[in-house]
Parts: sequence; C-alpha cells; structure tokens
Amino acid sequence: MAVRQHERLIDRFDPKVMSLLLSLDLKARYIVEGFLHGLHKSPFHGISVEFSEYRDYQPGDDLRHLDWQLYARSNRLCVKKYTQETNVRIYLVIDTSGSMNYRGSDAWASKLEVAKAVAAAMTSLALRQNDAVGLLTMDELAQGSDFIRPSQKPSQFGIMLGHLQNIQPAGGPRLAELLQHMLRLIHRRSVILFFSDLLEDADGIRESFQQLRFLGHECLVFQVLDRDELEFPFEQSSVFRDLETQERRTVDPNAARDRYLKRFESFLKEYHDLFQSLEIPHCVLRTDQEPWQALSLFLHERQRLM
Amino acid sequence: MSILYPLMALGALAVGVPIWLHLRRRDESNLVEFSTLRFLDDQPIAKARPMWPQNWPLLLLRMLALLLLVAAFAWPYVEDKNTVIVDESRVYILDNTLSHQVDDSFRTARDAIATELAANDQRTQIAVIELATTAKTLVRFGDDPVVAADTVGQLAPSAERGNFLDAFRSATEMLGTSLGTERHIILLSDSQANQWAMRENAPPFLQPNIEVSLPTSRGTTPANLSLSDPMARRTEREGRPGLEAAVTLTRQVEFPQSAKSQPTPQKISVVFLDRGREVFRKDITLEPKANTSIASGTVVAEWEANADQWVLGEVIVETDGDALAGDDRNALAGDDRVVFSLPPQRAGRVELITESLFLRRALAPQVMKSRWEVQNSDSSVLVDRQGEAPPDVLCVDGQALMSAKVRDAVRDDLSRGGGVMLMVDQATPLITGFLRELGIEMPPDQPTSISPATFRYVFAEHPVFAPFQFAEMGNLEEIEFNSYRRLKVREASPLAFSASGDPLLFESMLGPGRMLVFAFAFERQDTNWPIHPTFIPFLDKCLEYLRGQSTSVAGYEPGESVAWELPPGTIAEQITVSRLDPTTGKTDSSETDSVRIPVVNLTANFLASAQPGHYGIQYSEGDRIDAILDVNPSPLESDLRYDFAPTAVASWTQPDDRRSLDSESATDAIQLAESEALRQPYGWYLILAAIAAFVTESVYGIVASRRTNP
Repeated sequence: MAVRQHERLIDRFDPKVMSLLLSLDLKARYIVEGFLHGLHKSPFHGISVEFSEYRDYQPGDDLRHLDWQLYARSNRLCVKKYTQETNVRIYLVIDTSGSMNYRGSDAWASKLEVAKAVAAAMTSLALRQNDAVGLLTMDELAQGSDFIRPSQKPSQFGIMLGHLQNIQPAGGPRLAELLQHMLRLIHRRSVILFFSDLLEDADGIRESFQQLRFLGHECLVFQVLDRDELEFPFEQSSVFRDLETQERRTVDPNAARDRYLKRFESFLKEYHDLFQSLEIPHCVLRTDQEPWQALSLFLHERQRLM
Repeated sequence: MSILYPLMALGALAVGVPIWLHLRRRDESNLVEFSTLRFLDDQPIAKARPMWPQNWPLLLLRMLALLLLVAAFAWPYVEDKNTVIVDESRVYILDNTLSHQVDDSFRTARDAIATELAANDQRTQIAVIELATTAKTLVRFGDDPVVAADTVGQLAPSAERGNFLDAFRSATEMLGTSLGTERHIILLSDSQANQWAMRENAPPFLQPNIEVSLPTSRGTTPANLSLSDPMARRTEREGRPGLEAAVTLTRQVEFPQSAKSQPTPQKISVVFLDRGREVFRKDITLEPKANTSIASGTVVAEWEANADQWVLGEVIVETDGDALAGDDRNALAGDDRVVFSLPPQRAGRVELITESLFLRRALAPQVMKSRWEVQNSDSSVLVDRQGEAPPDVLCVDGQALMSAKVRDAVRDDLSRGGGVMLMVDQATPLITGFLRELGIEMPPDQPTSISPATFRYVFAEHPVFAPFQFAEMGNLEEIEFNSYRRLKVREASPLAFSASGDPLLFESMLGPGRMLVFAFAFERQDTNWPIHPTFIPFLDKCLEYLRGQSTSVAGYEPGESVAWELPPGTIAEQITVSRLDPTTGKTDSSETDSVRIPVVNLTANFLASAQPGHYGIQYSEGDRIDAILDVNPSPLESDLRYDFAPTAVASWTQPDDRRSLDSESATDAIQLAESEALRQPYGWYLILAAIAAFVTESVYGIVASRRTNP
C-alpha cells in the first residue's frame, strides 16, 4: 500500500510545473497540497485549541471571547481563556553559500531554490499545526545573519516568504559559522531544520552539531544535492569553475568520473555516519525529484516529538 | 590639452570599451560552473589566460568599426590643403528702418558689407541680418560669397520700423552654430534712441563671449521735418460736399547747434493733393523756442470733394534741407508721401418702427442729413424688401414685434446681410418667443423696478464703443438706467453690463446680418441716455456698424501685420491687394506687389507693403475697389534722437560664469562645429561603414556561435 501511494505521489509531481512556478508561495502550496492529497490520515488530527478557564471581563477585552451564554445564565461577564495544545519552536536554517546556486540540466530549480520552496512548504505545514516557525540565514551582502524570531501567528507565513524570497546565494563555505551563530541565538529547546549541500569539511561542523544535540535541540538535516553532483554525467572535456572559490580546472569527465564518484560517496558516508552517531535524521533532497520524502520525514519527526 | 581633459577621458573610454566588451564576452561555451571542485582537485588547473583575446577576427572587426566611427566624427576637424581655419564668426545687423536713411547711411553701410563679402578670405565667417519690421537673415554662414555680396548689394531701403531685440536674438542664434573661436555682432545702424527703448527688459540671452560693436556717436542730432498721419473727414458747406483734413508738421533742428548751423527761418510749403490734383497749399514757418530743438504746427485744409468717389489724399512738404526726406515725403522722395483715403459717401437707409420720440428726433433729417435717410414706418406698412432700396438698418422696438410683418422683416433683413437694431421695452409671450428664436431668453420674473444703474463693463474694443475711449466723445459712465429687462444670452455675445452684472446690450450671431439688442428702451423712464451728449454719436456708430461696413482700421505702417475683416455678407474666397495709382484711382495689375490673400471666416491676414502709399483691396475680380489701405511710415522713425551707449546690450548679456576660459572656448569650438559636422558627407559615409562593420561582426559572431554550439 505504501509503495502504491508513493508511486501516485511521483506521478503527481511534475518538475516542469515546478520550474514554471515563479512565486515561492505557489511552489510551497504546490508541494503542500500535493503532499496532503496523497495522505489518507490527516497529520493535523488531534491538534486543537483547548478551553482553559474563565476570567472576569475587563474593558478592552476582545468581545469575541465574551461568553454570552454564561452571561445569560449567571448575569456575569466573563471571557474564555484557551491554551494551545502544542507549541513546538521550529527554526529553518538555510545555507546560502555559492555552491547552493548550482542547477543541473535536469533540476526543476537550483539547490537554493529547492531549499527555499521546501522550507516554505514546511513553514506552511508547521503553522497549520500551531507551531512557531523562525528563520536563520547568513546574509552575504549585509555581512551578518538574517534572523526571524519564531511565531505561530498566521501572518508569520507571509513574513517568512518575504525573507525567503530575498535570499541570494553568495560566498564560500559558511555552515560552521552559521551553526556557531545559531548556538548563540537559540536558548530554548527547539527543532532545527537544516537545508544545505554540506559541501565542506565534516570535521569543521561536527563540534557544532554535538553542541546543538547536547543542548537538547532536535535537528533534521536536508542535504540538497543535484543529480550532476551525485552521478557526474558530463561527457565533454571542459574547464570547470568552482562557484564558491572561482578556481578553474580542466576536467576530462570520462577519466575523472570514477574517482569523483568514489570520493563523493565517501563524503556522503562521512556525513551519514556523523548524523547517525548524533541521532540526527538525515535526508538527501534531490533537485530533480519530488520533495515528499523530506516532508514525510519532517512530519514523522514532529509526531515523534509530541 | 591635458590628459585629464574631459574629452581625452571620453576618448580613452571609447577606445577601451570595445576591447573590454570583447574580453568580457569571450566565447565561454566550454566552461562549466560547478558547485565544488573539492572532489576534482586532482585535475589540472586550467592554463588558458582568462583575459586573452580568443577570436582575433571578431576583435579586429570591432576595432575597425570603432576606428571608422572615430574617423567619422573627427572628419570635420581633419586639416588638409583645402582646410580653412575660421578665426572669427561675424554677424552684421544692417538696420533697414526708415531713420537709417539719414545722410544716406543705409546705402553706405550696405555697400560696405557687400564689398567685404566679396573680398572675404573665408578665415572670417560672415552672416548678415536685415533689421526691418522683422529680423530677416540675408546671408548665412557658408553662403557663396559672390551670391551673398550680390544679395546685400541689391537690398533696397525700406520705410519699415523694427526693434533691435529680434535682430540680436537672431544673431546670437546664428553664432551658436558658427565655427569661429571669436564671435562678433556688428550693428550697422543709426542707433535711434526709441529703437533701443523697445523691449529693453528682455531676459539675458547674449553669451558673454560674443563681442558686440555698436555705432559710434555722430556728434549732433540732425535737422529734420516730419509729418504726422493726416486726419480727414467729409463735410458739407452750403449744400456742397467737401473735405476737411489736418496734418501736424514737426521740425527738429540740429542739436547741439554749432556756430555754423544756427537755425534760420525756414519757409515750409505744405501741399495737399487729392487724386494727384493740388487742392490746398500753405506756407508756414516753424522756429523752435529758445533752448528747444523741436517745433510743431498743424495745418488744416478744406476743399470740395466728390462724395460719390474715394478720396485719395496726399500731403507733401516742400522745403530746403531735410535730413530724412522719407518721413515728410519731400518731392525728391518720389512716390513716398503721407497718404490718406476716405470711402465714397452714401447716406445709409434706416427704417424706423418705434414709438420713441428721442429716436425719431435723433434720426431726423435735420440731424442726420447726408448721413442717414430715415423712413418712419408703421407696423402694418413696411418698406418693400424686394424693391430697389431696401433699408440698410431696421430700427425697431419691442412693441412693434407684435406685428408678424415686422418679425418677418427682421428675419429677412438678417438673412440678406442687413442690420437690425432692437430695443426690448416690454415682455409679452409673443416677444419672448421671438427673442428665444433669436437666441435670447427673457425670464418671466422680471423686476418691477431697480435702483439706478450705470455701465460697469463695456466691450471697449467693439466698433460701437471704441470711439468712446477718447474723452472728446463723451463719458458713458454718466449714463444711468432706471429700468431694463433681464435677458439671458444663448447665441449672442453681450457688449455691455450694468453694475449688477446684468447684460444691457447684445450682438446676435444668427445670420450674415448684424443685430444689436438693447435690454431697455430709449425713453426717459428707462434711461437718461437720450438726453446725454453721447446719444447721437453712439446711435450713429451703431447704425454704421449695423450697416455692414468693414470695421478694419485703414491706416497701417510698412510691414505691419493686417487682419482685414470683410463686411458681413461678403462672398469672397480671396482678396487682391494692389498698389493704387492716386491719380487715376485704379490698381495696376502688373505691379509686382499685387498679392492675393485667402479669406478665412471673413478675415484676410497679410503683411502691409514695405513701401508707403495707397493700396487697393478688391473682394472680387474686376476694376472695382472695395477698400483702400493707407500705408504710412511710423512717426517714431521721425524722432531722430540717438543713443550710442545703450544700457539694453548690457541687460541682454548673460553673466560671465565661465570657470576656465581655455576649456570653455575649446568646448565651445566643439559645440559650434556640430552643425558643420552634420554636413560632412565623408563623415556619414564612414558612419555607414562602421554600421556595416558592426553588422558583419554580429553575423560573424552568430555563425561562430553556431559552429561552437550546434
């Protein structure tokens, strides 16, 4: 049954449609609606706002919360107070290094655009569950971070979209710097969703992830990769230029492919081992495939946290 | 020129940009931008020099195109054996107004310019502007010198009047596109003082690097005699038609007077001619009083004149010694004389249907004899409109409109181009309905009485009111209205309003005929106008206007703009204006200054001839003269006082705020050359070649790109 459902999801996803959707809002809706349409069980089941207590009406209170039935019965003016069932704080952390700007010939968007679309979709899902969502990126132009405090207000989605749309890729590896910055900013226990291609040394970020786990944060890593990086399908001998360092090398793909793939597999395994040791769920998000797997992982982890 | 000079920097930029574009837009089809090379660090580092040109033909084509463009724009500045360096650009302003003919100054100046043009070595650009009524460019920079000298040499003196401002503006504009590093305006004029006073307060326009040369002082103000425009009117003495004409003679003696030129008593003969026949002569002596240089006197002449034909009058002064003969029409001046004309006199026919005793009295034969023949009619018996003598003007009051015959007569007269004078003295449904048909509404709530009102606003330029701008015609403000009808205009134009804003007099615009509508009756209970001195002159002017005569002024200055209004009902697509022989009273169709003017909305617009005299206007083919135009020189041209240090030039000159004289003059030289550069054929050929090179480069680039990326 699960296999059949997965096939139907793949059938519904069309990379061409995604590439034609220019608005990040539309991309997020396309992802969320498509994802929810394929589920039999609502992920929002059991999540509600519960009545807590009464208190006396004070002038200036919202009249919507005034209990008219109680007033009719007891001639007392009271307002209802509610408590929300859940209140998970979720941070979206997006790597904006230059390598995230890569887009292969089969991809429906660049790695950063895919990360932004999936992050927006997750924001939408989280806000539907009354989770508080925030954002942290490194802004190359402003020489600092772009930080949005978590909030569960409906208007947060628009704020997040606005910031996500303005993110531009630039500069070299900076995930380690971003993690350190996060350690200073986040004090309460939170869920942190990382979107990065992780194309930098694992040793440099190992310690930061260990600290995050030590502080009790739940982390999910979405490693955004392109098919070109995973399979190296190039044929013609060309000059390759590094998007981050601008280094140029003359590459004969046919001669270099095997060695490249071997080294890339080793690189993936190194990170896989790291995240496994830290009990951090890790998911490879391909730019030429549907992003349902990432969303499934996200919902699964959230239900686990509840 | 320094390397920091802006044009040098621009030139360097122009050279560098194509090369930079070429290097930046190199063919990078074989380049792969990859996310990271950390897994390919065993591959060799790319050896190709990133900024080395890869496509030499492409670069050479671009360089060639650039060189051709540079050559094209530099072409006008390339010197060869035929190149002439222009040192100076010079504009002569040749004053061809009447006053410059004193002592034959105009001919002297004209001949000097023609000689200089013929001998010019092309190192000096010369242009010539003729200052007459308008500033006309006679010679432009670059005109053929022989043709230019011939053009200037044949320039005839004119009797026009113009102002220096237009000429200086034209000269400045011409110098703005000249090549010379030095720019010069030379005024060849008598520097008449009243010419400088005209529009002296114009905003600055003269560039500070333009040198202006003004005439030098002539020392004394010359002696001169001048005549004013004559005034003439028809009279009747002892039953015989006559004519009375007056002219003012002004004598200006030399000032300051030298010992040799003490003014001596001078016998001056003033001669009046009518159709070439001497009709009056008077000898007078004009001597300025002590410490003055000007004396004047008026000569009034009377003679019998045929009332059935045009008066073609001339006034001539015969005397010895006069600096400016053109303004007094000295016999030596040929045909130039002070002229005046009067149309044939025919008494107008008025049909009067009114109970107003004042109107009947005012239009009685003993008052209007030889001017208006008045037929007092009854509402039931009217003048036959189809007969030989239909009335020129129908004068009717509101009571008479109760008769259908009168209403039909009003419609008939308006439709055939006649005039109607209507006094609305009462409001009845029949009168109200008829007025509505004429475009005038009479509201039913008419006030029973009003406080005495006076004229508040009057269309003073209208022919019926225009004469009353002068005090001798009487004061219209003294007229009071005790009662009048409140009328609303729909298709008529109000000519006078009361102090409370109510219109008192309208002119209807319904048909070819003219109609004046008065909101009151000429009765004592309505107004005191019938006993006011202005009543009969105003009535006369109204009847003249309604009669359909042309309202255009007949006297103009040479070259003055004329808007000639044809009488209502005239059917003419064009008019002919020809010089008139005052002796025969006929036009000469062979005259070169005979022109045909199109008529639009009964108005013909043209310029009066540059030469004074009588000019006949014909509305149709044939010998009949419909109107006569009198062209006389401006009296201001007779005022021979001079200003050789005018303040106007200083006020016209812009402040000198140039930061660097050298760079400014160099920039000016470049700017000045723009118009000349556009005339260089080789420059255009080179630009075309550059465009062709760019097109070839583009095609080559496309083909090369397809070869690389099929």
